[in-house]
Amino acid sequence: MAIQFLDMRIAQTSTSDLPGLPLAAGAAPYTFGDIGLQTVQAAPGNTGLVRVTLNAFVRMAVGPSTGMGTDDVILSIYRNGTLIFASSYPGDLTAAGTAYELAGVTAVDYPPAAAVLGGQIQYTAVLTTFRNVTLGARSFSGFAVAGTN
Amino acid sequence: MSIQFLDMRMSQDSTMDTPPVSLARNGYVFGNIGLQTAGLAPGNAALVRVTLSAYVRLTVYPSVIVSNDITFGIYRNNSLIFSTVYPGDITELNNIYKLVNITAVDYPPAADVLAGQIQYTAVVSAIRNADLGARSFSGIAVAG
Repeated sequence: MAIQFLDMRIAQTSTSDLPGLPLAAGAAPYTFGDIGLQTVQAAPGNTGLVRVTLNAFVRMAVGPSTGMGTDDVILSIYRNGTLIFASSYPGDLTAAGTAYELAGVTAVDYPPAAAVLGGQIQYTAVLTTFRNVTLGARSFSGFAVAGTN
Repeated sequence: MSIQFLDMRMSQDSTMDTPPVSLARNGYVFGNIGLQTAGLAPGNAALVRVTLSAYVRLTVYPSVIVSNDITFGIYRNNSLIFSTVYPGDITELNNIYKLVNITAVDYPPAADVLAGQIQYTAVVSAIRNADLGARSFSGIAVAG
């Protein structure tokens, strides 16, 4: 089926680094992006041909290791509650001071036809940390298209 | 001509950091897409714009030789159109982790647009030892 643009949605959680959002090591996972991409316009032959690109940004001020056994700050993306992407920032385990990371992630997804036929696909961007971290500016954006030619 | 959406294509090389691809002073293609331009309106062939996003989670091992670059390159139909380098810290003794997210943009020539498909490839090469974790590549084309 013909290529078609479906939707772009964004989550604008914070447009600047201040005020920062402190997360303690081991805190509950924090959702900084939650979007619902609309797929009702997908042509009947395109429901199995949907492609999604997701961009997330978080500015992190990462404190020294807390010795919890792991030191990761993990960026995860979920589709309708199912994990589809995860990447971690372990940082420098020996650093004594605060490290700053402008963490940008691009994830891509081929949602199953059943999710497309639901009319809306929810994508959430979640941060899980095992060290103390303060979040600055945070953005999340998703872009959906369908069709192959 | 009026503005039109043409296509978005992407490569999903790895959605997780493990298992990694280990580079030992060599290169690796982590993205390879063919943006379709056949839906182009007449008059828009020279007015195509492309935004490319690439992500690689890097584990950079301590330096082993004099040059220490990790180079990211993006090619259009095998011509280099974008390149950027992470030299790292040559004196660092520990592994360093980088969430590398690159945005590149391109104005493809009309001849490439009229061929109906434009290939973009994303390549990383290391002159040191490095592991590649999660890897994504995406391109969006519009015209007019």
